[in-house]
Amino acid sequence: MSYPTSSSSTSHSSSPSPIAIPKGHTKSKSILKHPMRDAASYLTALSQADADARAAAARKNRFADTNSDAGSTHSFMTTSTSTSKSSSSTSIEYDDRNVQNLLSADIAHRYDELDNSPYSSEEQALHQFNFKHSEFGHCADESYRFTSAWKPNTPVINHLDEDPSYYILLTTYFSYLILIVLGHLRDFFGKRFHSHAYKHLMPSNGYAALNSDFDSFYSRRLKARMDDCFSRPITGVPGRSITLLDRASDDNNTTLRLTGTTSRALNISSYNYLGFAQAQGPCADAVEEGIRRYGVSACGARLEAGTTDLHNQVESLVAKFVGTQDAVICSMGFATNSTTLPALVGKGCLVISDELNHASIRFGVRLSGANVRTFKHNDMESLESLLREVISQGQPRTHRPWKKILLVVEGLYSMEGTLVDLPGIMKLKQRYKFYLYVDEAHSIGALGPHGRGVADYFSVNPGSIDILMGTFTKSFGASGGYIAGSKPLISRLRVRSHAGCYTESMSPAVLTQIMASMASIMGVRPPAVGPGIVTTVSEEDDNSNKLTLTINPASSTGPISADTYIHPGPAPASSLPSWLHLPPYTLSGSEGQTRLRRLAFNARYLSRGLNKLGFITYGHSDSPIVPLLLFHPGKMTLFSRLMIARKVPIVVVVVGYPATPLVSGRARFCLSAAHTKQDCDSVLRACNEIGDAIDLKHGIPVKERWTLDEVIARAVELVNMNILPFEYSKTPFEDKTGFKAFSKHLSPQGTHFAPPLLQIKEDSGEIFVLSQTPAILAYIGPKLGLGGSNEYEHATINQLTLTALDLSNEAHDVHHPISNSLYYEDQKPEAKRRAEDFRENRIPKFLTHFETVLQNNSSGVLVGSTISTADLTLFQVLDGLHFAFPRRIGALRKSGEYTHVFQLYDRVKDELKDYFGSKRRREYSMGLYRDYPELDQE
Amino acid sequence: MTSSLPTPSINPALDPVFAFLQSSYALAESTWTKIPGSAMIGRYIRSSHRNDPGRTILEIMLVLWAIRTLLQSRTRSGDENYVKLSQKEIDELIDDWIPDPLVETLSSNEVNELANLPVIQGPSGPKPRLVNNGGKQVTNLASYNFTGLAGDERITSRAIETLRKYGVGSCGPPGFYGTIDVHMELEQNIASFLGTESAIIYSQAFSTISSVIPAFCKRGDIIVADRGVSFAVHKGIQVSRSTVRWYDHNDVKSLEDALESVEREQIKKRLPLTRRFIVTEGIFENDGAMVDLPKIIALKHKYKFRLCLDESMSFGTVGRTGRGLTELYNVPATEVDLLVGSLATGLCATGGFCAGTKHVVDHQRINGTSFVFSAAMPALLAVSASEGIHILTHNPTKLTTLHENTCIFRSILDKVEGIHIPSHPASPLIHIQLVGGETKLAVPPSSPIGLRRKVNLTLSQLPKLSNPQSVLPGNPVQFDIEAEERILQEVVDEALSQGLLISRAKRLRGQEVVEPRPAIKIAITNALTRKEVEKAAATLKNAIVKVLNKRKK
Ligand SMILES: Cc1ncc(COP(=O)(O)O)c(C=O)c1O
Repeated sequence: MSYPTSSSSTSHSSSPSPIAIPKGHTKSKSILKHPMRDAASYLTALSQADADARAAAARKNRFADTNSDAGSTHSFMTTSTSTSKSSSSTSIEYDDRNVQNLLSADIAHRYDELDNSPYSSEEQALHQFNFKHSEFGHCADESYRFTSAWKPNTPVINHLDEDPSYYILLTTYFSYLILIVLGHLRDFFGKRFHSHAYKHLMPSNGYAALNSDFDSFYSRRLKARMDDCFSRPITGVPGRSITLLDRASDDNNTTLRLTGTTSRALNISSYNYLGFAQAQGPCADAVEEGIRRYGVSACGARLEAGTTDLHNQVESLVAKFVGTQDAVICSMGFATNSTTLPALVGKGCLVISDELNHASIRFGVRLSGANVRTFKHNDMESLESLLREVISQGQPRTHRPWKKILLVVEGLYSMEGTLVDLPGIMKLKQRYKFYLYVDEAHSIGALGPHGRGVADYFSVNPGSIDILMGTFTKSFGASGGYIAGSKPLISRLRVRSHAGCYTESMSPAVLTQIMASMASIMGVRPPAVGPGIVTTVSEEDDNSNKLTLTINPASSTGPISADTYIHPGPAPASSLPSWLHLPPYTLSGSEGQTRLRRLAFNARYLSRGLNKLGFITYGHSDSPIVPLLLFHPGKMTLFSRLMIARKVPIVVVVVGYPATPLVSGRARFCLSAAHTKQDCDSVLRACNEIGDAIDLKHGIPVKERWTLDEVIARAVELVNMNILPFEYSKTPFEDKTGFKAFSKHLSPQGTHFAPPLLQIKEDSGEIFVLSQTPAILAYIGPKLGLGGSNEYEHATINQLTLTALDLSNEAHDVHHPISNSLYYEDQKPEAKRRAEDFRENRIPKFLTHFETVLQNNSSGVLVGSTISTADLTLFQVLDGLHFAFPRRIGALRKSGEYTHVFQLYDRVKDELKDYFGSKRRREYSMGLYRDYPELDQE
Repeated sequence: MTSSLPTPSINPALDPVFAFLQSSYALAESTWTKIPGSAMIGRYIRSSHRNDPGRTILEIMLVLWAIRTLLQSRTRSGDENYVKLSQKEIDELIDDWIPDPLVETLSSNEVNELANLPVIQGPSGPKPRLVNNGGKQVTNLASYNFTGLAGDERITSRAIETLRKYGVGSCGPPGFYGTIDVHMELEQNIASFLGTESAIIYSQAFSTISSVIPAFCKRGDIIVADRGVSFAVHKGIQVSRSTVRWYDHNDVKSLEDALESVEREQIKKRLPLTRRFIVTEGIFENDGAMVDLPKIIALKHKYKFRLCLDESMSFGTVGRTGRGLTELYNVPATEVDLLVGSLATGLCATGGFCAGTKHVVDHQRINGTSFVFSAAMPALLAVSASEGIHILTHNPTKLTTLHENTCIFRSILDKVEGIHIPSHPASPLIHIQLVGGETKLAVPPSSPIGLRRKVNLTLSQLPKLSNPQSVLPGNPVQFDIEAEERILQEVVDEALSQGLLISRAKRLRGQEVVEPRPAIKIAITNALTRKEVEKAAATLKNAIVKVLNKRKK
């Protein structure tokens, strides 16, 4: 494995910049010779270094089995990169869910020998903060990148229900009980012996207490104990690292005083998702220019002469970014919700609100006067039953139909890290006709292959979401918020939202920051392009194998009506003021892409890493917010203090009751594109040590856990873990089931007959596409270590795979006995006849064959001593038969005649139970295997 | 087993039923005994039943009741109003339901208004350029730039310095590493500028008061508020859900009546002691009137109320150095329990603040909704505000000039016929309303919500006493909003064509708690010279005369 880190070059304190430089690379040396004059040239140099590193550090050959010269990949020092001659990466594209499942099995927990090069040590990491990278870390390794995108037709999996043991629950309740009892005792005696300290909590002199002792009990007796963990003051940029103003207390946190010293810590707490919290670099340069030109205030409300040309420019850029017709901005994110919602709904309207929605939404809804109902967090069933109830019942008492129903959800929930089930909601929206309001405060910029939020992530047309709200405080490193939507909606909000008349308009400094950061994410299209729609299929593009459909703004008047997301493309140069200069690296969009992909990697790496270490985390694994469950109130304090007491201090956010349910106190990590992989390693290492020390690991069973070293070493694999054959074999791949670009291979002119397709991309950029399940299996088997240990085994595996697939074909022919071109209903009588024969004769015949093979090979697998593609194929076929002929297979299992076959089946099922239990496993539908009860019998 | 019944076959057909009952009983019993601890429970029930059969019934009822409440809380809609429907009926109702459109389309008036919104090209200031008229320079009396801090060199250079050290965004709420040293300095600066113990900053002025009020006023608490408070204050009161009593706009007598009645009610009904607040503005955003602070403070002490004073329009605009009403009336700011102000209006920065004692401020750090749940203000804007305070403290002439300009402006406009200026003579925020006549209004000129003026009234027109429980005044003034707004807009347009940028006071018609009377809103600035102010006033005067004359014809 390759871990080019930035650390070793910093071990010499004189080194100016910890850039990973491929050894012996002449060009890179010249970069360092040039003094960095300013941020722009620095970034250009960075991008150059990145490109060089990418070219030189060609991907490591992952197929150790087939490579006799695997030695070249070993002992990979941090400053050098090695190349292997025949390296290739694989990208797999499926169109057939059954075959995908077939491939989704892998047992061999094999991976290349761990790299024994030293990880960046903590001192070195600390050292880095002293240099340029305190705001934005340098990370040149292209394998530490990922694309944040949803795989179509997969369920949206949010972990929220991982309950700890009763022991944890009980002790947590008990901790609170002790705290409460102690608190009351102290109050009881305090009021009698220190009455002056309680004066402001008691009615006095005819005034009721501003804040009674009862109301303030929680903050005085529980929160005060951990006050040193909250509201820690800082100075400087809240970037990759943060500078804390040290505090101390001489009176048990009653007062905290500044000691006058500061300390620098790794910052895993700020909402700085894309790392735009920077005092240097293109954005800050632009802001400086903006302030020089516009000052810091626009002096007034938008409708009362508080609008400058800059406001209008930002609004059209935001609309472009989000992919809607228009947008309106507001100078505070909180107020964006609280002033817009009352303008949309009122008496006679119903707001359906997720139970965990942000305070600003609740505030706005309360102001609106509309009725509110809540549904269980992100639970589509609860939502649907509520919708059915409220629409059929109408308004309370009068039963009049509701004027409108507005569903308000967040894209990404900031306390749980859960991602909204947008596909589910869009389905319900069609049926139930409610309006949809999505608060993208945390998801805009942070999610989706282009950073355009949940619509981008789920590939939903943003035009089909009625109201898209977002804030600039997070990903853009600015402040304020926006509402994006159709032109009529936005125009109405301009005059009807409280913000238009009454709130101060946004500061020009903030506007410039928004414009510069947004343009960096989007890239800027040079002026003068012809009108029309430009379709580019950029499969060779190293950055993304995605089909990008760009629409020229000149010709587009609004969102194209389509169900899927159409990437709005880069910002047109005309949308930026002429004085706003961005360096080429930023203009091209590569800076933005790098940030997006670094964030996506970091997010997955940390959440999956923590899981593998045995912690309970909440949320979606693509979420940059990773809550780590701590449970006990005492551990929250302890965790926070221990993290900050480390050699490389790490600042964390801990939240407990009442912001969370009583028993689920947690630490919340917010990842950033500014973090390097080493930063994530540091966090994992810290969590691992502290977790062991204070007993925080209550997640997956001990035997499934990985060690810290393993997690760190297998980071790339963790991040890409999705389809199991590739999962442990470290093969970069992309699942493109249902992907359109793909149809060209299958078209009449294409060279492939049917899905599935496997696409292999050589490093040279050449693409090789392979179809037919047996051919794909034969090809990937050896590469994944599932193809036997010698060529005879390989051939036998192939042979048995084909036999198993024959059974699968026969299973298919049962419901299509006459022809594939006729409907099942048109050949039903025949199907019944065939089914009978299939059940009685064919299945037993095949199973007997496999049973014999298994009996003859004592190791419990078909060939050799380890699981191979033949075993997996047999498993998959059996599993399909289980689905299609449950009664028959059940009877055969009971008969006891095929014990070895079913043992093998159970073994695979058990070893992959994670996967099968996870819903990642696609469900059978009307494909090869169909569940027609009339065809099944015992 | 005692359960082995003799089963005398009453009806042989029922035999299988009995057999089934018997076997299921046996099964239930054997399962029951398998549950750990079941023997103990069984013994307990048996013995308690033997000793006290009544108790068994009671216990069974208790258990049933517990189960009932448990089930009830799950299946909502326990209310009798709930109509039970079949799935098919529900589906039909869903098919039939047609929601209203999400928003109404704009009226042609509104379309026009949006299209003609003044858009400033480049920086705002006393003499900005407008996109609307092709980049021509105009004199600006529309923007809140009272003390001319917009574009101040000292502020911009401090802002850039801060940018280079802190970046722009704070990337987090104050509780989660969003508290930056410059925020604490700003809070300190505000507190010492005003002379209070402490202060807290919010990141938007409008959202300050609507969080401050609900942080302290809860259900059951009492608010006595002016009927003419701004939209933001109304929203804060609405969110608080406290009991509200209203008094007539800027009427100390009416306030005293309201306080008196609250006291009487509390004594009469023997209500427990609750928190009681007077909520009012310093200079009213809706009309520029100014409260008589010393009188209000006297009343607050007399009736033991706390005072929440929104100085959004008076902070940075009145007083010797811009400290607001407390400086103007020379009362210590500590007399005001919750002193709320705007850093955006008064200091050309952004955000708002609440000053008070340490307890008052600390309480908001946990309970001020928009403080807790919103990102802290960008560092460079906090520094801009601090610098603004610094400049005001050291340049008292800023306020003197502002006051002079206000007087000059008023001296010209006060004489114009057909208009009424409800604003206080010292207020640099000036509202201009129309008086009756040409709009055929049979009501006396008045402030937005009925400030009573000396007019000869017939007996039937005598004002009714207003009801403190209603936000509407006893003698609501009627005016034709649309017609007046149209005329005022003509004045605004006419003025703009003469190179003067002013604005109507924009309102959320239909959403306001009390519809304020249409007005032109003038924000005087000290950044214009005496001559320029005179000229601007003359331009406005001519525009008014011209438009009103045209109407008369
Ligand atoms: C979901 C959601 N909406 C709105 C906001 C408010 O945004 P801001 O911090 O910009 O006021 C937040 C911020 O915490 C949020 O999480």
